[in-house]
Amino acid sequence: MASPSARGQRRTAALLLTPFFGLFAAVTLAPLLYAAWLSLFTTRTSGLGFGGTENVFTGLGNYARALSDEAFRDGFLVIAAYCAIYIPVMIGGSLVLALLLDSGLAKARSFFQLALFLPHAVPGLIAALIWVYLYTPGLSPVIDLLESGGIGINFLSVDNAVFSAANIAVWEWTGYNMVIFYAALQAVPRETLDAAKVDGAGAVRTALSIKVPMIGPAIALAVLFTVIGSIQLFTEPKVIYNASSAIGSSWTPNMYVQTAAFQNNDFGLAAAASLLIALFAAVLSFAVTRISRRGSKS
Amino acid sequence: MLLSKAGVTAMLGLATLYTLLPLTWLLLSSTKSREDLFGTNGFALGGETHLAANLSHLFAADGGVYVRWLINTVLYAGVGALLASVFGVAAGYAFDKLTFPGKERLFSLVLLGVMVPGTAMAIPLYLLAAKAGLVNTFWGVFIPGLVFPFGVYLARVFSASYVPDEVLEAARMDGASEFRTFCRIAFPMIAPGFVTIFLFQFTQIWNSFFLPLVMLSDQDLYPVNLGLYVWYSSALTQGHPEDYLLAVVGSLVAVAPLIAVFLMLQRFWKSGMTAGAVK
Amino acid sequence: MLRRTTAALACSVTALALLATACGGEADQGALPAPGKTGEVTFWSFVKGSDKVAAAFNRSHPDIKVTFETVPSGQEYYSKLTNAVKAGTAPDVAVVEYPHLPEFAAQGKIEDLSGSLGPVVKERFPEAARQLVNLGDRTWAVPRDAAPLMMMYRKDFFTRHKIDVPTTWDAYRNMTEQVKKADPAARGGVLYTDNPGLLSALSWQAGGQWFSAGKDSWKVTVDDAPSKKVAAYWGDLARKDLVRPLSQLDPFWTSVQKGRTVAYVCASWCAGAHQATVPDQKGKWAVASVPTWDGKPASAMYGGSSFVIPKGADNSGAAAEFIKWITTDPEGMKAWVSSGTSSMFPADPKLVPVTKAAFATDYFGGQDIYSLMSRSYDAIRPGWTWGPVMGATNTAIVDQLPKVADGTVTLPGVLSTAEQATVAQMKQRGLTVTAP
Repeated sequence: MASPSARGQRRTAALLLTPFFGLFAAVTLAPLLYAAWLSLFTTRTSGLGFGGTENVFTGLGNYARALSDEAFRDGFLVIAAYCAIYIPVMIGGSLVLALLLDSGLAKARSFFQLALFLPHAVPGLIAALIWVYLYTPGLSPVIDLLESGGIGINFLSVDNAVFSAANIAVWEWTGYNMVIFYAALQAVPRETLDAAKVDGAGAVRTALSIKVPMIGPAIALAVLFTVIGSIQLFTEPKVIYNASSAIGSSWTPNMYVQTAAFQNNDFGLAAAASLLIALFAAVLSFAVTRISRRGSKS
Repeated sequence: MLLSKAGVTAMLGLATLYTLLPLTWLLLSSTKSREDLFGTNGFALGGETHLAANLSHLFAADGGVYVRWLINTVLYAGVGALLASVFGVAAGYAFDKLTFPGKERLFSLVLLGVMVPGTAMAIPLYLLAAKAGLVNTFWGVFIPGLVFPFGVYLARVFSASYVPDEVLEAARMDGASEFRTFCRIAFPMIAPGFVTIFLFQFTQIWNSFFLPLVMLSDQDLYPVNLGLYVWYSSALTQGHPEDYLLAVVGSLVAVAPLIAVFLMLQRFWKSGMTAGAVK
Repeated sequence: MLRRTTAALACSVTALALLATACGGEADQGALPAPGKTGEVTFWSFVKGSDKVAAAFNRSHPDIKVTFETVPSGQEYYSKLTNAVKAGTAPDVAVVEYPHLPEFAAQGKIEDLSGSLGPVVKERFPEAARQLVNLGDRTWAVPRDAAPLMMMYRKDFFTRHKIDVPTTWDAYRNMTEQVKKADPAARGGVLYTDNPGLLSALSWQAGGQWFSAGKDSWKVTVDDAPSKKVAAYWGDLARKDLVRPLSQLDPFWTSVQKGRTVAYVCASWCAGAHQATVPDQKGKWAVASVPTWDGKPASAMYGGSSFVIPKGADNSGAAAEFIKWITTDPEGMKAWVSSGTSSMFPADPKLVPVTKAAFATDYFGGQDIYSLMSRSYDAIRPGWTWGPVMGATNTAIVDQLPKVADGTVTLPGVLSTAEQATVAQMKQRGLTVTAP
């Protein structure tokens, strides 16, 4: 027999979990299962097509199609290159900013928090307008400025696209993650820090050897979700695509999904590809979690 | 010395320049006439200031529909994110502090929700909503906003770092019920985390695009983001360029509520950092 | 707190109940046909003046109530419409631009209007417009406007630098050279990097035929000889930096506003769009016929829209009545252009006086642009059909366009790539394609 306390915990857990899971089942799991079901079908028509379409069961045909499509596979290479630039810069940047804010040395902390977070609050459409403007040769004051300094750069070329997309993402997400890190730093017990101070540790040493390890879990978490978010990369390259379609409509896996779903109405393929992306994200995040656990153990 | 007050502030200032400079384009463009918008440098002032005229056009356009969009957005994002954060914190707390069977399996379901590309789920969600008769209704956009799996994950982490187990032990010893303990003791301790989760979900709903796009066709139900897109998308292709300027000014105005929310919420973080203020 | 949680519980129970009903079965897509010509009609459009036209119709037709709903334009709209048909929530009337029409027809997403509106289309519209809405011997939509090609140019710039208005494409090339010589920052044309519409229109004008629908199979020849000729011509101009590759949105209008684009090929609707977007250049611009390859009149359409009844519409009888009124009735046409800022050219030639009267041309120095458009409309080459997977065709072109200027790909090569992508997508959907 369960003890009264265990029963109480179970009952409370049920109470606390039901609202979330009830809704979660309706708006996340049900569409997910539905998508999984739809991914087994393809829409077929015949002749000129005017007779209408029918759904044909293809088993794993859509999965095979996605995996055998070079455009879909290449997207993952793009993601890898993107992560290599984006994650260190963005996570490092937001950590440094959070530590600076937390150092007690900064003035106007509220202002800086707001200013750094602000890009995340700008509607996506407008962020796109702004960056298209800044990236388009002949329009951009930034490009003009660089040119007058003897630097010719085309942000929209295929070679620079990874960098340009990462830059937009850094702009949008650094403040967001800084907020997470800052909140985590606030939870570091002040006694620990005071003790370090008494021991004569400088601000940098306190930051690196006490604060950073203390918020290690928060950093690992941010890295994990950044990796997952990067696998779903869509908005930023879409901006670049709008300004110059040089990078192609299926540059990242999620763009591939969008093209299939919203342009070709090939929902079976889009669903299959999304589930493959999710699977890939799951495998990768499992790996990241394992690595970070091992890191924290040692 | 880099780590002086001035040095730290200067470094933060540099980062701020990077985040704010692109936004000055929005600010300056909103003050321009249509000719100046295309005819002058994006980081310079236009020939004359048109901000007041632009604003009055914005609020008068299409029978004042913009205000309607703002109200809708506040309902979708404000109320939606509030409920989503309550549900998220409740679930995250349960995952962190309570023992129940199937816990980790349930939690991996939550993670699954985080890993599926959200935009791709818009279509199946729409098809299901059509069967439930929720298409082109307020609820079709509002209900999906109530679910924030990442918030559950965050709440679990916040609960682990903000709510010491000893406090709960003490409450249990005193005979407080689990639910009461959560409401009266744990929830206030997670408050800064709650605020963070709220803010994230708020911006997420505020920026959501594909779901309202497929779900809504009645302009009176649109959130700001979609409404601005409608103006923008046909402004230059369908030959009503005045809508382009409306989209720009409308975005500037739409950023304002977000700033307000952020400033209000900052207070909660401050309350959580009183200890840190000691130098 | 407790109350909130209880409310939440109730809410999630409701959500689950909804879910249960949601999974209950497929939506009934073939809604009951309602042959009556009364009742409610929902109407989706992004075309300028749609609100006015719906209001005017409601005033003159007390038995029918049209509810107009604004939708965004672009690919997102077509996706939205497709999904609405799939989900059984489609409107009764929707706008579809010509290039997208065959795709809707070929997916069975719109009603066959041969019986209801087919005779109207046959009676009122010339072949140039009919060929775009009739496919496989059936009528799928009713044309609203035609968009015959024309050329816009800076009259002041041309006069000042003694540049002649070109009437052939050879002369057009000379013109672009003269423009660049006269002002190194100015160009005499644009290669849009995000819109293949003009490229296809110019292929059409040159006698190209990208698609044709036979008895039971499609023929795809995106890279036929005339189209390749056009592509080689524009690719060459872009590579020699005689025309500027630009996005057709903000970058293009910025270049016009700054005097960096002094001539461009466009269509009838551009006159209104142009004067609205750069009002301060009033009196500087003029309109000319589009250049041709052999100097004889030849034209095509760039843009234009039509109206369809999506599958599953609740009230197709009244919807057909509404469509007929807004496309062929003088009062309907008057409502479209009542703002006075649209230079739309009606596909029904009888209605030209209506739109002509509504559009003041003092921006263009009082030029009679409507008779110019009429001539262009009459010169549209017969035999053009848009393809059944136009979204994929367009994307395949757009994905490559920006690479033309730097020489990574050639424009004729882009067409060949697009043809392959098109055929692959058509086969995927089960459409029959015969080898060219």
